[in-house]
Amino acid sequence: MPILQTNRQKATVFVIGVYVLTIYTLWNTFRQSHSFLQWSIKLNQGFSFIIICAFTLMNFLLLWQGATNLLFGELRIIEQEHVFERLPLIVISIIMITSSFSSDQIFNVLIFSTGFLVMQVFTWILKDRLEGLLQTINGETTLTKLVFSNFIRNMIIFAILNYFTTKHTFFDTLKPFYHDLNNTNIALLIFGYNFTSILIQYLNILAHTILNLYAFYYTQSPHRRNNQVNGDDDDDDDEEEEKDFEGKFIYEKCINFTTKLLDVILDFTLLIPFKFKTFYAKDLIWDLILLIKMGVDLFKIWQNNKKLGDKLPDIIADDLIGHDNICIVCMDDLVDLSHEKKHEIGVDNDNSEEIIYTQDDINAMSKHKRPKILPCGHMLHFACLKHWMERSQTCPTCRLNVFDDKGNVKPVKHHHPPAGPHQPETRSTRPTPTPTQPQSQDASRPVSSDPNTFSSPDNSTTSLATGSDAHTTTTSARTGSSRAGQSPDLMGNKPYKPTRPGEWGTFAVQDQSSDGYTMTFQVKDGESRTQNVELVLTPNKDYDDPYITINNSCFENVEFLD
Amino acid sequence: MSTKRISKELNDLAKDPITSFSAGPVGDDLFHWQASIMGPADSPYAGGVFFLSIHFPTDYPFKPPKISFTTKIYHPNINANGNICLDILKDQWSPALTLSKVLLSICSLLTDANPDDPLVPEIAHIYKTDRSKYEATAREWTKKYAV
Repeated sequence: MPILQTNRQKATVFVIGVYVLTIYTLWNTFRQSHSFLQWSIKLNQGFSFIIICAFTLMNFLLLWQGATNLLFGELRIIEQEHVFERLPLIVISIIMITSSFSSDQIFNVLIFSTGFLVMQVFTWILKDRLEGLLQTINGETTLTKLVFSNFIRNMIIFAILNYFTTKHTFFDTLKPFYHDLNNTNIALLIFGYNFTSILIQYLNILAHTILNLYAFYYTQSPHRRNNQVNGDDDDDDDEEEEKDFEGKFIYEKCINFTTKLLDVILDFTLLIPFKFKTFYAKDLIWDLILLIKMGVDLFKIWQNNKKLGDKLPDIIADDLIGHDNICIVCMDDLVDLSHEKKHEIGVDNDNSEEIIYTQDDINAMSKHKRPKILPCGHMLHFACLKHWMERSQTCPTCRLNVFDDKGNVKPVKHHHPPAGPHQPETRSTRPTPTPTQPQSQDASRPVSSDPNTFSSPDNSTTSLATGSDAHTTTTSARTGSSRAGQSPDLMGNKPYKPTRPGEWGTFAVQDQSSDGYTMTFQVKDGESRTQNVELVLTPNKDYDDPYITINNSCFENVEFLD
Repeated sequence: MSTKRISKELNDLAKDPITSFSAGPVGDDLFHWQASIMGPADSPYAGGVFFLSIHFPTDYPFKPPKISFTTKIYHPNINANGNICLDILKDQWSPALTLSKVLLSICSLLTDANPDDPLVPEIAHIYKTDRSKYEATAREWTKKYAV
């Protein structure tokens, strides 16, 4: 790394330069002065003072760097990034705090602000290190190895440091503070407040550590992790029943909630007495708002997840028709065959396309893994779904909400799910998502609710759906070509003209040519000009199930002509 | 779960390599990857090879991977530290996304910047007001740092 080298060289040159300059200044002022007092005064004036300041600052940074190296070793890139991202904010807040003190407390303030800065930065690194520790876990990791790691050593060191700083600055000063205001060192107390907030962060990390160590212990006991970089094929994965520590994220949320609660309490203890009301009221209000938000969120997720298993139906064998049998979250087989059946058929490779899964295969899966179908028709392992639902209450594939506001699940119509691109549209930039899945799915369902509404090209009908909400009308048409032998029976499908807005209709395709199916529409604009519009549906060879949606919000109203 | 899924993605990448980028773990650490992206042909970054460092969280795929450019690049949505402003790497993450999809998104971000939500407002301003100057600078940086 040539950049690092030159930076390091630059730093060395700078350090040597500052040292030489300092020695020179000391010597020079010493020569010119007759007494110690005069020397000190000279050192505190003009250029000498600047050099002395630079010397102090540089030594502080060197010491800090040394301490960091001693405690944490080389920082990872991500840790450096975090530190540099957050450092400016904390420095600004320290300047804000210190600006409210009189100059006779400058010494105290300096000591405490440096202490606070160093502790805060170390706490951030400590937090990132927990993540780093978890990432090192591999097949050979044992609990004892984790417990006797450098991370735990640092945790102990910081426990001691935090104990003394908060005891000295906060709890010891808070007591006289309530009895006699004039007798209290306000500087100490304000920094005590900051040190206590670091203590709370530390407790948060500690709780996360314990949770993760427990989770590790739990998953470890009978189960070996498979951590080969070039992991083997699926064969041995299936043999081990994955033992997952469920609800870890919920526990993490609980820990964060408690942390926030402690923060609010801390704000409160300082707010009641007096004085810095405006300064701390702002923090208190922010923390309270966050706390309430987190609480509501946590409660909702907890409640929804409790009934997740009952509210969402298991998949049925028909759902797998035309599906690639992959759970999008773990990228494993959605339904796996029992071993006897595997040998019976004689397929040991991934050639799952030819296997027809039966209801028995689904029923044979453990309850905790058995796939569930979401209201939008997408299917996932129950365990995978549960993990994701702890974080977000939406379908991972199409981002449709799983629960409505009242916590109910819309009934799932077991059918062949829309098999468009299987992933959410990856957008390159940040603007609001452009829906690729039809929005009308939650508003309107096909009138004929059997699977037949998905017609195939070899039948010359095409479904046209119109769903209308307040101002926009969504028009969507689908066509599906299932694999031979699997296409839904369409013989009973008759053209149907919707009578009400929001209904789905089935229309005959008027013209069938080699490159697609054509339908003609008449479109009337706001000034009653009529125009003929031709819609051509072209089968898409890239997907098993071509699926075309016209989601056109520029139509205000749709009328049906004969 | 995370190690299994990451090795699956690695296998998939090995099976069907994608021409516009390559990616793989650094050493034995499955959670730390390096990727290189070819500058898209229809962009001022054409001809450059951009390196990225990727950190998978232990909760992957439930949390997004952390991706940053290690090669300097002149782009309204990528700052001097290499941080990328991309919704799917933040709140729009979904476990249905994979690393290769994210990298493809980054490729398309190189072709079509989003100056309305910039990470570096100065570059976004130039992008909007003086497109040719932006392209010239981007080409120059590509030549200087990425070739």
